[in-house]
Amino acid sequence: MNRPNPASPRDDELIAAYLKGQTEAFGVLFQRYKNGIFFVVRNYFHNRERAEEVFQEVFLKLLERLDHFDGSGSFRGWFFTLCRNHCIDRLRQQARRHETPDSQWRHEDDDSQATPIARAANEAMPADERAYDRELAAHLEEAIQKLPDEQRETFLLKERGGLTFEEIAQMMGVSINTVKSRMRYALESLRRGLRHKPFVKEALR
Amino acid sequence: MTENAECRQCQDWIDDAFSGELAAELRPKLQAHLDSCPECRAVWQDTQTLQRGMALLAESDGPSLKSQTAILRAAEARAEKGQAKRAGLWSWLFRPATVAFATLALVAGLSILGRQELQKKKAAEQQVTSPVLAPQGTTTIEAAPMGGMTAPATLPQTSGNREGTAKAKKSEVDTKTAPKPQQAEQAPVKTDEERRKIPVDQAIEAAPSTLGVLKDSDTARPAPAPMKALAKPVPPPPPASDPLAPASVQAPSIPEAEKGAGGSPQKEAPNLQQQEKKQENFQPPGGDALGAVNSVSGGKSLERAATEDKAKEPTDRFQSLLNSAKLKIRQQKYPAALEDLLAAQRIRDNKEIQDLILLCRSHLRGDG
Repeated sequence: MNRPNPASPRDDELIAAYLKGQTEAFGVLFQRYKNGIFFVVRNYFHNRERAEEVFQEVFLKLLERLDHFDGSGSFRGWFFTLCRNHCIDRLRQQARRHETPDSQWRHEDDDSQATPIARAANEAMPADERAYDRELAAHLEEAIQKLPDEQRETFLLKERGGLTFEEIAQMMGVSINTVKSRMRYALESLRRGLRHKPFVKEALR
Repeated sequence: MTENAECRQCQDWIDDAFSGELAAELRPKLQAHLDSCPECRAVWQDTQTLQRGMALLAESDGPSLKSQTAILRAAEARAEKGQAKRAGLWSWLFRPATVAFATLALVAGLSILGRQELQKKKAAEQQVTSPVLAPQGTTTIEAAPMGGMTAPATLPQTSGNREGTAKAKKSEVDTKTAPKPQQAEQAPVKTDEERRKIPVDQAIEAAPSTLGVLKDSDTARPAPAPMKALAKPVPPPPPASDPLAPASVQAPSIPEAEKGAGGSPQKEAPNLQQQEKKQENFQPPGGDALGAVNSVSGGKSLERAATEDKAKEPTDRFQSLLNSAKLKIRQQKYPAALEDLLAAQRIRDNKEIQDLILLCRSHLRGDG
């Protein structure tokens, strides 16, 4: 998650500027949140196409409701709650329509799923380093996928979304301590998952 | 604190460090423990691997360019809509169609008013000139509203009794300029010659009284303004030569038709350049006799070829800038990509260019 630079404008300032007609302000806000939001959406929708669709819907919903953000709480918390609720709504609709569940996330073909920018950056790396990174990313995805739902969501909201424990607690309707312990369990599981992989040992040599 | 308790504490600190919530004053303590405890150091290393893996995932699994541009476009549209809403009545008032309609109404109004004023003036003038033409035994009182100021009520026969042709001509001019048909009807009887002329004159005068409104409004109608505003899709033709285009971009400027014809681009390019040079020799800037001959004979095809070639230059330059910008975007060189895109936009503006500019700008302005 790209945490805002202290020198850069605050979220509420960007929103105010955008509502006054400065489109570029929204661009900054978008860059700040796009990856975090996308990751959270991907947590719910493992099919990339579907995730892209819902990702767009989340931002369109944000545009619709930006007027309603009163600035009393953090925008990040408000926005991620909006995102989470939208994802849950869409999943319910999907379940009602008896659609086939999303395929396992990102395992078909890494290259076809990566962004052009990431692909170009990937091409510039030495082959062995690239292979290591690919393997690491694949194992981590697998490990994240294996986490219990609450732990995975907490981990992604914290790590990708950059939300505070308090914001996550509010969003999920649990205490801060619960959130903290879920995060700890998630980290322990992920570390354990990576520790037993040969490529990690090799990299640490 | 026992060693185990210390390790538990250290692992909490490691987790906090991962979440970015480790207090600055705890960092030296964490470092000290890691230096002395190999188990916690292994946990620390695993955590760093995890962090790296998360960064890799973020890089490789961002939203697609398509999604990003779609969202940014929607944001732009919403901002424009919001502005239009805020502007409310003002925006309605200054819409091209409204402005055009208001201008038309104003011109029509002014034209009617002007005509009425003119009619009044003419009526007055008519009163002054009509007595000269009035037949014997008729009165001009009806046609002379400003009775006290007109000539005597009864006038002698004026046939062949004019005071020179100048005066007669003046009356003719007067009747011609009299705008109202009713005034023409009320105009006193004229000489035979004038009688013959009157209907024609009246017709001429009468016609503009009705057509004149249309004519005035037609000429004064600011139709091009709204039409221009609405007829936006016609893009300006690409400039014949782009000041930004370096001379080295000549080579790819081969017309598509020639490329398709099987000629190799490398071979064709010098030919066209030669043609251009020939053309320059044949047609000096002033356009002399040689130039004229040129335009009639074989020079014509050379001229056409050179013109077509020049017209293609911006297209090729545009494409090369666009390609270069895309490459730079992939390499995350956003400032350089933006420069290329802006240069390309000067040649031709389209949705793709706008999208890419938007993307670069948002990358440059965003934190990411």
